[in-house]
Amino acid sequence: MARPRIRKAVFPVAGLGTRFLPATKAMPKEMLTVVDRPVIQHVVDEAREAGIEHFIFVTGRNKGVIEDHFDRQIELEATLKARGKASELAALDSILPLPGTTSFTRQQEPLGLGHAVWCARDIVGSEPFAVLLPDVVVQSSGRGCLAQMLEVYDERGGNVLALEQVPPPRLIATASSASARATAAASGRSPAWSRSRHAAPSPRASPFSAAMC
Amino acid sequence: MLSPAIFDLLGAQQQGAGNEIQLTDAMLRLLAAEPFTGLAYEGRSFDCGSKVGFLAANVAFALARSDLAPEFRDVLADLLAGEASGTAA
Repeated sequence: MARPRIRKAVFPVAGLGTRFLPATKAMPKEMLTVVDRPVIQHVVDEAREAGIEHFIFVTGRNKGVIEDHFDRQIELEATLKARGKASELAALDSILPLPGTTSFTRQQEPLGLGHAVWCARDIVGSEPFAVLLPDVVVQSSGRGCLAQMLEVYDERGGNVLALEQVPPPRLIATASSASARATAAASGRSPAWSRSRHAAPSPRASPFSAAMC
Repeated sequence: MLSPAIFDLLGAQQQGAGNEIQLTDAMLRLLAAEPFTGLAYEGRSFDCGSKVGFLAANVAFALARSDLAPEFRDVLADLLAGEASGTAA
């Protein structure tokens, strides 16, 4: 059965990053680098690799640098060109989204992840979409996490969550066990749990928050 | 991957934990109406919102880079050896 294609991904990047102060006093936490790419770049790359065509960022105050990062930097490019820095230019080119494939909207108040996603409703419209948490970077030997999820979606449709198992001693099975069972029942799999540190201690967040890696 | 039906649920939602609108609350309600599939995906995630997760991501991604790994592996081994013998700075 033909299913609506997943073309759009939402990146909720309005978080304050208080856990990384003072590094994030003047810089968005999403711009902290993992090796030589900002964290948000790793996450956007995962979406691009999966075939996502439109990248929707829900930002907040002081996040303008993220928009700049996904735009051309004309002066820098001219300087690199004049100096014959071909590989650096190619590196910049490789991360540049196609014109018109990014959208930025603002979450005006920090009212939670649900509110941030809701802020993207007009840009997403009436099609299924992906949500990628900007803190979660996935390393895989083969296809990326979202690409794997899209395969499952193509097969089964509906809503798809990515789950990661953590060792039993880290389980905090309180209220979350009910939702885990519900998820497991829906998927026909045994319960899997989030590795995400911020998800594990919070029954509300587990097991879903790793779901949208 | 979420269905657009999540937006109506989010819009109708009262604020929950921490006076915030939780995505997971809306997902639980969507679960009553639509199928969800959980995928135990192949790969390893790093929570870059935590300091240790962020540091681990840097080490893991550096070790996966052919241009960096050989030199970085040596530095890392030195640091770990120094720490084990109590001479790390």
